[in-house]
Amino acid sequence: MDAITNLFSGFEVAFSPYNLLFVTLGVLIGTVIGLIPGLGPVTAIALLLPITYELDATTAIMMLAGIYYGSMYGGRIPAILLGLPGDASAVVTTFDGYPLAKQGKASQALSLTAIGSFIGSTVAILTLTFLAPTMAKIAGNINSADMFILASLGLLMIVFLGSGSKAKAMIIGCVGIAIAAIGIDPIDGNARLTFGSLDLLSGINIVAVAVGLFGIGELIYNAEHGFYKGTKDLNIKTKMPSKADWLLARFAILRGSIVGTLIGIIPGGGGPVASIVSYGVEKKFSKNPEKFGKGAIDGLAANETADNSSSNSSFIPLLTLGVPPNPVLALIFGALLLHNITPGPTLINEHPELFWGVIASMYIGNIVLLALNLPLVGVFVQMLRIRGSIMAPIILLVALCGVFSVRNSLFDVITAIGFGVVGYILRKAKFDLGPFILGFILGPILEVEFRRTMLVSDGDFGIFLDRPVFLGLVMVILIAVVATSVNRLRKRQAQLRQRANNPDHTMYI
Amino acid sequence: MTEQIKNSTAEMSSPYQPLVDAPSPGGMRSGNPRIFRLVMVTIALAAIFLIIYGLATGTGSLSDPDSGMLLLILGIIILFCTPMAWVRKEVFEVFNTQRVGHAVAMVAGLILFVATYWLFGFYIAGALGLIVITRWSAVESWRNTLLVSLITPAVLYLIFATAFNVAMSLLPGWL
Repeated sequence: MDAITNLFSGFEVAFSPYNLLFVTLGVLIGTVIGLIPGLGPVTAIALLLPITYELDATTAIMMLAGIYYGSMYGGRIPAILLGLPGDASAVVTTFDGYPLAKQGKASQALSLTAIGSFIGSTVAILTLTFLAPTMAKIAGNINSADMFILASLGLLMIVFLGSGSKAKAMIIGCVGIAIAAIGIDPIDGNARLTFGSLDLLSGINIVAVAVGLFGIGELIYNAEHGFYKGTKDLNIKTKMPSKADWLLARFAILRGSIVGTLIGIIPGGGGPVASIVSYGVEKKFSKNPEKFGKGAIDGLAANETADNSSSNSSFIPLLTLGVPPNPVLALIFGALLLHNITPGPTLINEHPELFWGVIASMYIGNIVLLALNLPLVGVFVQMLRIRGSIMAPIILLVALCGVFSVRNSLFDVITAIGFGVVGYILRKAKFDLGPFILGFILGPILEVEFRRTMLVSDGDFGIFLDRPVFLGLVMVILIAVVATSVNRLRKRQAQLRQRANNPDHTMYI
Repeated sequence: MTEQIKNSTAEMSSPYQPLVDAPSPGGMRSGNPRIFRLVMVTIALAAIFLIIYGLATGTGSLSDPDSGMLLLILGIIILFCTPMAWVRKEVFEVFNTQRVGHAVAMVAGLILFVATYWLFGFYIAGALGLIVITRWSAVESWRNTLLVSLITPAVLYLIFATAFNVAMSLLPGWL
């Protein structure tokens, strides 16, 4: 009952005209950025991070959350209409969404996914409402050792659950921590890696790093690969899904909501994993699995629902444990730090207006999104007419303006450009940038909590073994590492078996 | 369908990066390209630097870790992972001079902005940078280039300087 009472107090905060305006702006901007092919939620949040610096913390996080789940909604539009996924999580949407559009069912597909996304998000927000306070209560008596373990877990899960090279992810995560170490040592006040520069003494600004890596770097990468060319003759009118479509999709939506909510909570999970897993689950449950990939309405509904519910449930570890489960939430973590608020177990008691206000704003934001996406989908579709080559220069100057406005510093602008070039080069060398930003955000927490723990325990590592959180999390890490190794081994065995069965292939053992 | 998922997940170099980039202009190639080798060597050198810097700063003891301890640990982890990352077989994009030229033009526009900032101020320097970016990186017509380059800074001035009260003077710093 406490949760409901607190939620109502959150609605009081969220329903202020000022907050309502920024929630609406957030979901609107998120949808628009999400539907621009080439820009995903990380880029959207990174580019708009400086603007939220001018707002108070609660409003800023409400707006950023709106941008996040708004861009998830927006990403499905080009995926269904053009077969162009705006971000990785929308790739699965193209499998059945685009064939449905080619069959003349684009409007129904868009409506059904909007409703599915709304239901999925609502399930996730309800979970957040009732689970978060309990988790925060359990996490309430955690100490420095636990915080160090939690931060390490967040970083390691991103490294081990990532799709690319684990060694590369580990390297880039460490580079992120090293960049965060530039400036004054948080414990003893010594200058580190500053080389006598006064600008470096205050450290590297998170806004400059985020805008550089995910905004400017992305635009430079798109400049090389060619900007989106714009599409004419897109006229979509709202058409609700038929009764048959709804009957086919209702359980898929329900399953997608549960799968998405659960995956969103896991560090390293998030939209892409949620949509792939829920698509696979739905294919197993489906009576017509052969239709998958050719326009299966249940497959489309499941992955879009899971995608959106995961974006909402990913706030649970951030708000309760202070562990951002993916790079988007790491940037929102950074936004909170900019306002001198550290997310974690103490957040619910120290800043209840922010905690409950943000949750309440999610309910409101989702209703606004549904209202925008059902009748106004035709208006959003018109955005796809604009060429990326016109949008990119505009976005670039907006990003520079935003970075400059935070501290009125040209040094920050130069830093952002520098990180943009570094981000582009790292992408060319096939480095995943997610671990970098997580390392950058979690690095100072890791260091401070580790050094505090060592000071308290007089250098005795046994202090970690006393903590139940440690034992529980070590089990989780071990399971993750063992599962990855077993999976790799099984893949290798399958390959060897395949080769052994191939008479043309000679095996040398 | 399974193949479709496999292909898509394989393409996801990062699950958080947009995938809409057109297929690699010049196709893909196996083996470590020059850019990868350059990045890896730079990272290895940076790791060695971190180790030396960490030791020079002072690592302290386990009961009282000092400023250099973190840098030392980071340097060792990076150095340990570098050979593992190097030997992993991956496919990379083939270098395409013309396409990379568009990326270079964008960086050139950004450098022009920084170089002319003190002389002309944020908005005029921004307009100059946009001319280079819109014309040579985005390859738009001169008409569109001028429209984008003139209108964008003007609108941003209204938003940031007027609405948000950000101290971004219309005039250059020396005036």
